[in-house]
Amino acid sequence: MVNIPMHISGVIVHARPERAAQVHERLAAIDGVEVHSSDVEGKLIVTLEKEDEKTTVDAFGLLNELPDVLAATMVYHHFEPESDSI
Amino acid sequence: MELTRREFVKLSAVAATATAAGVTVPGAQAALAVAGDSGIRWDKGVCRFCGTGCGVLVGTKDGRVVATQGDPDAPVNKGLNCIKGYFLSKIMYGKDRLTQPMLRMKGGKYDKNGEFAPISWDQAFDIMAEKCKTTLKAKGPKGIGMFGSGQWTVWEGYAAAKLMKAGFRSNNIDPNARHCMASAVAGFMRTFGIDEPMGCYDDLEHADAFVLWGANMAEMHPILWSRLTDRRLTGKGVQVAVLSTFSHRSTELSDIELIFKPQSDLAILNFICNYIIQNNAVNEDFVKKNVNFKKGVTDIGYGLRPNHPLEQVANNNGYPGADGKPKGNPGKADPMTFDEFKAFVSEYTVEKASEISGVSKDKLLELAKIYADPKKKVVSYWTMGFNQHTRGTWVNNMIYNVHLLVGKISEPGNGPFSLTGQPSACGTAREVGTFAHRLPADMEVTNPKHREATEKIWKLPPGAIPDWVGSHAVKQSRDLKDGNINFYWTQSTNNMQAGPNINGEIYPGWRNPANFVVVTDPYPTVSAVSADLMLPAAMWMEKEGAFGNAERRTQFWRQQVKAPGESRSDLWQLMEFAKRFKMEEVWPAELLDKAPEYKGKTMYDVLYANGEVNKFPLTELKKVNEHGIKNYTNDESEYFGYYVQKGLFEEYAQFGRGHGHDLADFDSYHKSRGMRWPVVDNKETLWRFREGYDSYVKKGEGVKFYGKPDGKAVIFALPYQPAAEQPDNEYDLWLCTGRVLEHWHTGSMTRRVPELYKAVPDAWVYMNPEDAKKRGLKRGDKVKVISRRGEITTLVETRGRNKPPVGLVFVPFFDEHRLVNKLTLDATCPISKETDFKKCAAKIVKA
Repeated sequence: MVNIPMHISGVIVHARPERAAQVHERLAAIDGVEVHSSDVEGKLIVTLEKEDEKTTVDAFGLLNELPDVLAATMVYHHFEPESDSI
Repeated sequence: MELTRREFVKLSAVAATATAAGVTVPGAQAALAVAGDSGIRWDKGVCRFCGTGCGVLVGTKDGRVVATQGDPDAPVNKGLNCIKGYFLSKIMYGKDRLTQPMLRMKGGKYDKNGEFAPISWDQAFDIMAEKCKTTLKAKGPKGIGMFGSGQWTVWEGYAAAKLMKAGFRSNNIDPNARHCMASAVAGFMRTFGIDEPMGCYDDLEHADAFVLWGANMAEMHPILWSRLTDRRLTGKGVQVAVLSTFSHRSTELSDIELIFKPQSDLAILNFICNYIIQNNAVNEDFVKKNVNFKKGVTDIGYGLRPNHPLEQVANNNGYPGADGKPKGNPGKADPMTFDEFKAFVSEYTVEKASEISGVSKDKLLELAKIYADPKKKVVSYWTMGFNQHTRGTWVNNMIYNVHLLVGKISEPGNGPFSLTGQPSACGTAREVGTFAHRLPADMEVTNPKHREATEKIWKLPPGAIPDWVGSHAVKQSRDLKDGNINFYWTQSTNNMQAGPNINGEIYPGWRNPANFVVVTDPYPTVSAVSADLMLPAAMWMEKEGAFGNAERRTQFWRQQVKAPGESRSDLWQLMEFAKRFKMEEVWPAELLDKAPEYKGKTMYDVLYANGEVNKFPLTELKKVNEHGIKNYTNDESEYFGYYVQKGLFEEYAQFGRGHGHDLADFDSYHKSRGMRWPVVDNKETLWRFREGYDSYVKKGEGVKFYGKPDGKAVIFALPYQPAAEQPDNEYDLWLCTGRVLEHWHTGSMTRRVPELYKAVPDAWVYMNPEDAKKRGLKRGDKVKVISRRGEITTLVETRGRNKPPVGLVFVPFFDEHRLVNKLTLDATCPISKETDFKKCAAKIVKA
C-alpha cells in the first residue's frame, strides 16, 4: 500500500452572517477546502486537506485573510503516516 | 456505508470541529465514537504559551510527545486551539536544545571572554557557588539578583522566591512579568486592595458590548477572540469597540474603531467619566455604598535613571533628592469628594478629548454611551496597551473609575478584565509573589506583619526576611551595568531580547567584567549566549507543572516525557543549588542564634527538607495520579525522594487559605480542568466581591470590595500627561512594539517550529503607505529603523494585518536577528516600574 501523506484539519470559520453565502463560495473555491456546514449565524465547518504542514499553514493563513472572515480557528488536525523524525 | 481511511479521518475532523463550534453536522458526530488510538497515550495538559490557559490533550508515544489537540473538556477553550497551540508538540524538539551546562572557558578555566564549553552539573554549581559566595562576602545580599518568569510553574516560582528571600535574604528577585503585568497589579492593589480580575471568561457569553483598550485579541488571545466573535454574531445587538494606536485584525470585527494618538487613552477615559457624570448616568447607590474618591499626586517622573533631566525636575518620583531623602511618593493619593472628582474631570470635554486623541467626537460619544447606558452590560479588555505605559498604573485605575461610576462590575457580563500575556503571570509571578516587593498571597516585604506571617509558615526566625524592596527588572539591568549586582541568575526568560534599551543598559551590564551571569533555558537564546554560564532546562511536558491563567484558574499537568541529555527543570536547579550553601554562609550569626537548630545545615535542609515540603512520600505520586498515568512518577521527586511538587504546593497554599486566595488541595487539581480561586469548600469563584457568587461576601452585603479595610474601592482623579519621549523633527515617528499571532514573545519556542517560522520568518516594520512614500520607500525595501539608542535593519511592510496611521510604525519583537529592543527606551511607570514598550521616537531611512 502506498502512503500519500495526509494532512486533514477541521476549521471553524466565523463569517459576517449576512455575507456567509459569499464566504461559503470563496472557501469552496480554494483547493483542498471543503465546507461541510454553514449556519445562519455565520459559522462554517470546514476541512482542509493538504499534503504537508507548510501548505496547511499557508491555506489556514489564507482563510483568515478572506474578505468577511472574522476568525478562522483550527480545531482538529490529523496527519499520517506518522513521522516523528525532526 | 463503507468509508476509505481518508473519508474516515475527514469525518472525524468535521465531527470534532462541529462539536467545538456547538453545531450539528448530520452523521459526522458518530464517526468520533469509533476513532481509534493507535498506541498514543493521551493526558490533559495546559498550553505553554499565553495567559489564556487553554487546555490541551497531550499525546505521547514511545517517550515522545507526538500530538496535541484542543481539550474538548477544558472550559477555557472547549476544544479549540490556535495555530501555536496546534504545533505545541514540536516546541520541545528544536534541533539546538541545550543538553548540558556550558561555561565560557579559556585554558580549561572560567573566563568571561572565553568560548562556551560543556561542563558537568557539579562543575557548574561549583563555579556558581564560588561566584555567589564571593559576592555575598563583598556586598551582602544586595549584590546578588535573580530574574524569573511568568512561565515558571507555580512551584518553581515558589521555590525561587523562598531561596532568594528566606535563604539568601535578598529581595532582588523579580519576574519578567514586570515587563507585562506590573501595571495591572499596581492598578488592582491601588483600586481594590487585592490582585487579579473579579470576573472570568464566562463574561464573554454574557456581555452586550466589548471594549478593547490596547489589546489585539484576534492575534494575541485568539481563543478568547473566537468566543467573543461568537457572542458578537449570535447575541442580539452586541457591539464591539476597539481602541488602538493602529488598525489590526481585531478592528476588522469592530463596530466602532477608535485609532487614538499614543498616550491619549488617559484623556479618553477622563472624558468618559465626565460624560457619565454630565448625563446623570452615575449609579449613585453603588457609588455611595462601595466607592471612595482620591486624588493622586502627579509630578511622578518616568522611571528613568535619576540623573535624567525628566527625573531631576520631578518632585514625586520617590528618588533621592539633594538632601538624600526620597522626593515624595509616586503612589500617594489624598481623599477627595465626589464633587471634587466631578470638577476634576469636567475639563475633559468631548472637544478636548477629541483634540488630544485625534478621534472624532462622534466616535468618542458613541463609546461613552456604551458605558453610560444602564441597560448595556459591558466588558473592557486590555493587555499591553495599558500595562506597558509610563502611566500604566494610572490608566488601569482609570478604567476602573469608569466601571465603578456606573456600577458595571463583578457580575456576569459586566466588568473590567485585564488579560495576561504569559501562562502563569497570574499563578506564579503574582500569586506566589516573585516580585521584588512582594510575598505570597498579595503580601509585601515592607509590611512587618506580612513578613512575620511568612516567617511563621517558612519556619524562620523573626527578622529573617529582609524589609527592603529589591531591584525590579529595569533596575536590575541598571544595577548590573553599575556593578551593584555581581551575581545574576535568570530562568525561563530572555531579557536580552525582551528587555528595553539593550544597547544602553542590558548588554553592558551582562558583559561587565565584574559580573557573573547564569541563564537557565532549553535553547541558546540571545540571553543564553550573552551569559557566562548556560544551564539546560527541562521544559513543559518534561516536568510536572502548574500554571495560573488570567481568570484565576489554577491548572496542573503531569510529566509526560523525559528531558533530553542533562537538562533539568528550573525547580531541580534551584533546590540542588541550595545544597551548596551552609546557613553560616548566608545568614548572619545573630539571626542563626535565634534558630540554633539550623546551625550546620544547608539552605536545602532549611528551605525544602523542612518537614513540610518533604512530607509527602513517593507512594503519593502513584496514588494521586493513577487515574491519569499508570505507575506515575516524576524526575524531581525521584531525585529528592519525596513528592516535591505536592509538598511545595501545600506549603504555599497555607498563605492564601482563609484570606481570599484559597486554593483547593493539590490532588483535586490533578483531576479537574482547573479551578478559579478562591476555592472554598471545593467550590470555585466566578465573580468576586458580589454576594451569591463569592463566599467572602456575606448575605445582605451585596457588593463588598473586601481587599480594602472598609470594603470600598477607590476612584482616582488622575490627569492626561504626555509620554516620556515623543516624535520630533529628527526622530519623527512613534515606534510601537508587540507580538504577532504566529510567534510567542521572543520566539525562542515558536521560531523553532518550522511551520510557524516559515509562516512569519522575519520582523518587518509595518508602516503607513503615505509615510513610506514620503521617504521614497516601497513595500519590501530594506530600511534602517533608528532611535536615539540604536538601530536595526529590516524590510518595509505597507500592507498586511497591521495598518498604522501616518506617524506611527510597528515592529514585532520575536525576531532575534532584528532586536527592536535596542531601540526602545527604558522609561517605566514610576508606580509599577513596568516599561513602556509602546512609545518611543524613531526615524526610518533607506538602508
